[in-house]
Amino acid sequence: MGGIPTNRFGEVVYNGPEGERSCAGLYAIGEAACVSVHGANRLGGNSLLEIIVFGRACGNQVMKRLKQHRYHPALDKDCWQKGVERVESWLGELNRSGGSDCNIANIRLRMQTIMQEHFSVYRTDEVMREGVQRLETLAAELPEARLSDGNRIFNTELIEAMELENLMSLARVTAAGALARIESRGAHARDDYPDRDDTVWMKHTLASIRDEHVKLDYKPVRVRPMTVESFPPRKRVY
Amino acid sequence: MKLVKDPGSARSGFKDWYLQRLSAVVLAVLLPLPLALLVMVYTGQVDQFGLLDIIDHFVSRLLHTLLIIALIIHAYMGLKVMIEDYVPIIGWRVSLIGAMLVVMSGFGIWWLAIIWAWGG
Amino acid sequence: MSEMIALSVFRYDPEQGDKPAMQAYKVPMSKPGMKLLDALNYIKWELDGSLTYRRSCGEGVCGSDGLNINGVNGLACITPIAGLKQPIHVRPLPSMQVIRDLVVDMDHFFDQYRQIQPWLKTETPTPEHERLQSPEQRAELDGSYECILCGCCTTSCPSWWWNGDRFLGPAALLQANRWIVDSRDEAMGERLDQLEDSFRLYRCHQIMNCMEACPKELNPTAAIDNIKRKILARKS
Ligand code: SF4
Ligand code: SF4
Ligand code: FES
Repeated sequence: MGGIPTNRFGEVVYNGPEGERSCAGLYAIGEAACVSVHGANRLGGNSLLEIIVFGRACGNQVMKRLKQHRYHPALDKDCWQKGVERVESWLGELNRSGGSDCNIANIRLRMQTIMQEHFSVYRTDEVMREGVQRLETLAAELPEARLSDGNRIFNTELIEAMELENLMSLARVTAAGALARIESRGAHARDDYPDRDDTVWMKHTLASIRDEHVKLDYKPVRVRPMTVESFPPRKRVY
Repeated sequence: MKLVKDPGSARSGFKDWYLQRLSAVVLAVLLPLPLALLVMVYTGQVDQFGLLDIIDHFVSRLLHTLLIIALIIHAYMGLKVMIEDYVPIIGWRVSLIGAMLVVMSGFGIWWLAIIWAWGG
Repeated sequence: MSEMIALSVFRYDPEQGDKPAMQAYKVPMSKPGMKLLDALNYIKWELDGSLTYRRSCGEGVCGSDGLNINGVNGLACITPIAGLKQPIHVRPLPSMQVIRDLVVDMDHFFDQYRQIQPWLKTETPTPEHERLQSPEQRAELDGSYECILCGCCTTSCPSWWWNGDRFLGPAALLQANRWIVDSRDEAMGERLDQLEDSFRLYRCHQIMNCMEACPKELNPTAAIDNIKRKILARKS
C-alpha cells in the first residue's frame, strides 16, 4: 500500500540484472511497504492485513535473520559523510542571500499548489504535462533555498528543509508516473483515458531519480495467491 | 535518561493511605459528639456537673481515647505526606518525620493520661 | 486588513545561553475556527523561521504539541484562537527541562511510561486464534486507550512537580490501569506489586489538575483511584 516494493516477508526488493533481489537486512512494512496485495487503491480497513499478516511475517523474518547474523557487518568508514554533508550544505549556506520567495515554506507551498492544480482528481495529458514542467522548474530552484535558522540544537527548520527535499522527489516521481500511465485506475482518473487497461497497465510503476532525471520502470502485479484460487480482476462498477 | 538502577517498588504506602481514610471515618463519626456537648453547654441544657458526669462515664472515656488516637493518626499521616512532598532532602525528611512522631505521641500520651486520671 | 492576533511566545536559545524571554508576535486571523497551531505555523513560515516547537498530525492525534497556553496545558492544534484571551501566552509544558523555545525534554516522561510495562503479559499458551474480548470487556478500556501521551496531565500535577523523579504521574498511571483492566492481561498481581509504593502511586492526592488539563477529556484520577481500590481489595 506504500511505495517501497517488498516480498511477502517484508524484505525490500529491487530489480537487478538477474531479476528480483532482496536487500539483505532492509525491511519495510505497513504504510511504507508495497507487498502487492492491494489494488491500485488501498481500501479503508485493509491496513489490518498489513499489520496483522505482513507485520507478523516481517517480525518473524527479522528474528530469523538476527539468529544467523548477530552483529552488523562492518560499516564503510566514510558512510556517515553523505548525511553530514547534506546537513552541512543547508547550515553552511545560511548567509548567502536569497529572496523571501526562496524560503522553505514558500517553495513547499508552491509545490503543493502545483500538485493541487495539475494532479488533482481528474487528470488530462495536457494539464499534467504542464504540471511536470512547472514542477521540474521548481525543483531546480530548491538548491537556492536558504534557512534562516543556523542553530544546531533542535533545528526544526532544517528538518523541514530536508523533508521538503524528500517531498519534492516524491512529487516528481508521482507526477512522472501519472503522466506516463495512459489509463484510469484507482484514484488515477483520466478524462482522456477513462478506461482501465489491464493488458498493458496492470503493473506497478517503479521510479528513480538518477542524474537529476526521473526514470520509470515497471514491475508486475502479483495476482496469484499461493494456496487458494485467484479470482480475475474485474471492472469496478457502482 | 533511562533509570537503569531502578530500585523497584517499596511495597509501602497502602497502610498510610488506608489508615488516613480509616481515621477520617472515625473522626467523622466521633468529632460531632464533643461539638454537640459544647452546644448543649452553651444552651444551658447541661450544667457543669452534668458535663463532668458525661465526660467521666466509662463509655465517654473510651470514645474520647478513640478520638484522640484517630486524630493523631490522621494528623500524622497528613503532615507526613506534606513533609514528603515539600522536603526533598532525605536526611531532613526523615528527621522531621521522626521529630513529629515524638511530639505527637508525647502529646497523645499526655492527653490520654489526663482522660484516664479523672475522678481517679 | 484582517483582524490581528497578539501572541507572546516563550523563547530560549540554548546556543546563546541567554535567559529565556517572551517575544511578541502579531498574526493575521486567516480563517474562521483557526487554531493556535496555525498561528505558530504562520510565525515559523512567514515571520521567524527560528521559532521551535513540536507538531505533527495537526489534529490532536499524535500528542506532540502539548503546550502551556495562557497558563493552561493543552494541544495547540485543537485549541481555537477564538476562545483565548490576548495576547496569548504560549509557554513550554511546566516543570520540564526546556531544550529550545517550546520544546521540552520528554525522556523522563516516556521512561516512566516504560516503567509500567505497557504491553500485554500472558502466561496461558497462545491460543490458535487471537485472544478474544467480549464487547463489555472491550468497553472497560474506554477512557484509557484514547490517551495520546501528550504529557499535559502529568506536567500539570503538583505532586509530579515535587516528586516527579519517583511519582509516576497521571499519564503513566492511567496506562498502568489500562493494562490492569484489560481482560486479556494476566499480570495484574505483578503490576500491582510494582505500583504499590508510597511514591510511585500514593503521591496522588486527588488534586484533579490532570483531569482538567487532559485535551482528550480523560480522567486519570479515576484510573488512579481504581488502582488503589484493586490494592485495597487484595489486602482486605
Ligand atoms: S489527581 Fe493525582 S495525578 Fe491528578 S493532578 Fe492530582 S495528584 Fe496529580
Ligand atoms: S491522559 Fe490526557 S493529558 Fe494525559 S497524556 Fe493522556 S491524553 Fe495527554
Ligand atoms: S500536532 Fe498532533 S496532537 Fe497536536
